[in-house]
Amino acid sequence: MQTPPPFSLAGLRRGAALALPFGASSVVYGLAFGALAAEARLSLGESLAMSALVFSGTAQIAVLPLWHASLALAPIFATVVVMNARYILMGAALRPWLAGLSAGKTGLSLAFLVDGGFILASRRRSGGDHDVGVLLGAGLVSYTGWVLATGVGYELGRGIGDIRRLGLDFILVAFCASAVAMLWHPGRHVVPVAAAVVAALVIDGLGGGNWAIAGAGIAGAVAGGLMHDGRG
Amino acid sequence: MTDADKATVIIAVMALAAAFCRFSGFWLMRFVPITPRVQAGLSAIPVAVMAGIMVPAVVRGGIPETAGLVATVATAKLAGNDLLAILAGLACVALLRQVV
Repeated sequence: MQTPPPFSLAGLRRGAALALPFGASSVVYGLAFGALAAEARLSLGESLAMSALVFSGTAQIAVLPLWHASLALAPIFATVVVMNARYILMGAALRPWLAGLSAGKTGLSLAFLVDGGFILASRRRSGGDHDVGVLLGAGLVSYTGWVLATGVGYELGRGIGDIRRLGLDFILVAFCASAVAMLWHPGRHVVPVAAAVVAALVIDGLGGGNWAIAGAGIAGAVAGGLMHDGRG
Repeated sequence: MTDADKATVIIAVMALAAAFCRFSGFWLMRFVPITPRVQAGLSAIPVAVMAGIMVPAVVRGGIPETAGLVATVATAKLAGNDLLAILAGLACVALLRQVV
């Protein structure tokens, strides 16, 4: 059993503060989802419950068109899994770091797992900040913004205007670009990133856009594993 | 079944699917010994996932998104500040979308 990583309130606060830039993107998507949910004639309670329990913008927006169809649970389950397959990969990547933490702390950290939080925590960790509280704190900020914004978007409806015009749909992409630029270590990253880019291009080109992120993650992991010389 | 019951069932199924994704990867790695090679593969996942988020957005977008990406990376490298980099990228995308 290895010694557990630190998990502190200070780390939680640090993660929360650092998450504000991409937390803003959760708010933007929450507004958009709330507006779309109102349009799809979900009740406010249903919209909020969905955001609070599912916490996945792309998946929730994708399910809305199926809402008033017959109760087709299998396609709904499959849609959400496809949209969130990337989290399976992120969870796997978190294993060595979280090993040794109590089940409760691990469960909490995974329950609020979100793209921006994962990226932020990965960056902090490569800079020497191993506090798992950072991951949870960032996830909580994003979650809070997402749920509150769902309600606001529901009430404002179309009044919020087009987020694309303002470039707000670009926040998560910009957050990734900035993180990659700061993390960049050519010796370690060129091969896995090249594999990931090729995988994403191929999958997206074949029309499987929802699988692009997970596919890129798998390709990068395989490339990263293969290029390792097998020694410690 | 009323509409409200139906909604409850759908939301429960969605919540289950999302939880499955968030927990299963971590759980599955219980059964995989973390050798140095596996560790190297896992540690490549964050940048690979980021690439997977950026590539489709840029490919489907076009000039504004590509320029926004360049602006973000350049600002990150020059200023060393996430927030500035993200704002530069957003400003670039928003401006170019008005003209392109």
